Amino acid sequence: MNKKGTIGVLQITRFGDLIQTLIACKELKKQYPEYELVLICREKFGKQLEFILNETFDKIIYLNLKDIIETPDSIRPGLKNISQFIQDINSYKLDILINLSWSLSSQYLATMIEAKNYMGLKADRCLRPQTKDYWSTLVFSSVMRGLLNPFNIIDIYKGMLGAKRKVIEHNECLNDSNTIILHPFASQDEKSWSIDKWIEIIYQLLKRNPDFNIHIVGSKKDEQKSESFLSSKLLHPFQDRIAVDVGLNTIEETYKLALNARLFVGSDSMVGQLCALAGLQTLTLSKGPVRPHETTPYGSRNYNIKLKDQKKDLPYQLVLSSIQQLILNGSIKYQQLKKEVPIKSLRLTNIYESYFSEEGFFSLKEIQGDENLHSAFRVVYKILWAYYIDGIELNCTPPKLTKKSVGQLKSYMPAFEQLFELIDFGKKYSINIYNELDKDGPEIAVLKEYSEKLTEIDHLQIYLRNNFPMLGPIVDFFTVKKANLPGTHIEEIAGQSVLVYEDYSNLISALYELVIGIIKANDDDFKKQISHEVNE
Amino acid sequence: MSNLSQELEREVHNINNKIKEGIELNDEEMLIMVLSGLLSEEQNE
Repeated sequence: MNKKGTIGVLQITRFGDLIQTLIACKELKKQYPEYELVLICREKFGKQLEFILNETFDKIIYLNLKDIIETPDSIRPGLKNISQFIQDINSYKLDILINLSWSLSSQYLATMIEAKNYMGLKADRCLRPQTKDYWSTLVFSSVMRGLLNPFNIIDIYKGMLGAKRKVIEHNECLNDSNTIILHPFASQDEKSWSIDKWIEIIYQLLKRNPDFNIHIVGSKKDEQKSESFLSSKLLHPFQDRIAVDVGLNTIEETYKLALNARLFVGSDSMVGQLCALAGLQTLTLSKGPVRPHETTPYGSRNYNIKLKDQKKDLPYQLVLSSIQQLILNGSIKYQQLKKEVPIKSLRLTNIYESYFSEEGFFSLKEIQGDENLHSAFRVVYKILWAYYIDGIELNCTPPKLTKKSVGQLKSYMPAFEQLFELIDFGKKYSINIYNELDKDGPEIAVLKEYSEKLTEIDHLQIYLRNNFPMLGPIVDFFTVKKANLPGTHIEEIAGQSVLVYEDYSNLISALYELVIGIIKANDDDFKKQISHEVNE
Repeated sequence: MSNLSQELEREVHNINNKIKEGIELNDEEMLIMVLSGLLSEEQNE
């Protein structure tokens, strides 16, 4: 096949990010096989995933820091080696370099790699972050700093890569396997559940399901913790049905195990991503700083139980009942949970089920219907960004909110008006600057006055955002956009500034209309409910 | 602290001063920032 071009993908962060990158690139390669894909990743993560990376990437360039540094005595050999490493990449004559890692070193490295076009973050020669494409702007402004990002990271990567989205169906038939893969460890202690609770869960599962066996997987650093499973008296009668593969299996072996297993249960980690890649159904138990909308394993009918209050613990009965339902039916039903789990325990968590929207976006549904102000704004931002960035009209049902949440939504109405006014002023002063520059002899004092007004408007926006945090994503998105205005001379940049304000103003109007739509749908529901109660 | 770390720290300090003054970095200085970033990320893992 004739090669149409070469795309470099820079992913120098960890295993999980590399698997997410692979899933997005796999889709791109399927749709555009005529493009050569070159992955640049760290050897210590990439090498262990080579068995699946090789299926998608035509070439993998490994970065090995130990080899680059060479000696701890001086930076000179290190500089020579890193320069050689970059020259090796440049020999591929990249048409596009896409930086999918969100670290400072990757920004600087992206700047040094030669390519005809760039996507993702890079820096300028004063180390200021630069981003041109809208998906990267969204990541930089919204994903990295809040809970309002509605997209899974893989969907964002697909957006940056330009891969068309498609619905990934979950295998509806429960397979015959009787193996459950358990990963009870996490990279941070606050993300993991206590080993004693896991022991109780394993005991109950094996007692209730006599044909099932459990594989506990983990890395070398989890070995010490895993000894508790082997020495547990409670689990003693079931030892022949428990395999502890902690620190023994390679990632490839775990992947092969997942290909023939029934279910994955574990904390938010790369193992869940790996199992989902193998087509396995997953249940993630999320404690600590986990964002289910971003990191729930990519696939249909995967579940994520997220603890709301970090001072509390994940309810044991809820976890057990959920796993048991998945073993028997392949899904978790709220009605069944209500029969088996105290309502107080249910309220401690959000329980999410994944599905793909008809437009191919990975989505989560809260099965208890527990929606709040955050969920409402996530829905409106999802509609807004999908349309603004990709031109896709999403078909979303308005979330069903409590009266309290509707009240909170209504309290945002004056903030929308204030923001709209500020943007209008911003547009006006940008036009004034543009017109002044268009004159034969523009006056510096006038330009200075207008630009001071724009700075003042920026400050007022930040103040508004701090008081109305749900407006954060849109304010931050356009702050980043304004900081990255394209253009080679001041007049062109001023013209672009006017256009950005125009977009900003249109999006605020759309956001306002969407919020009004949610308020109206919920108010109508409340009225129907009251009239139903009166009639009864 | 190794010689390399000390040398890097010194170089990064000088580079940060240049940036504060709005001076653009040359290739070697950019490479120093890449190396320093990679090392500090590796140490945090």
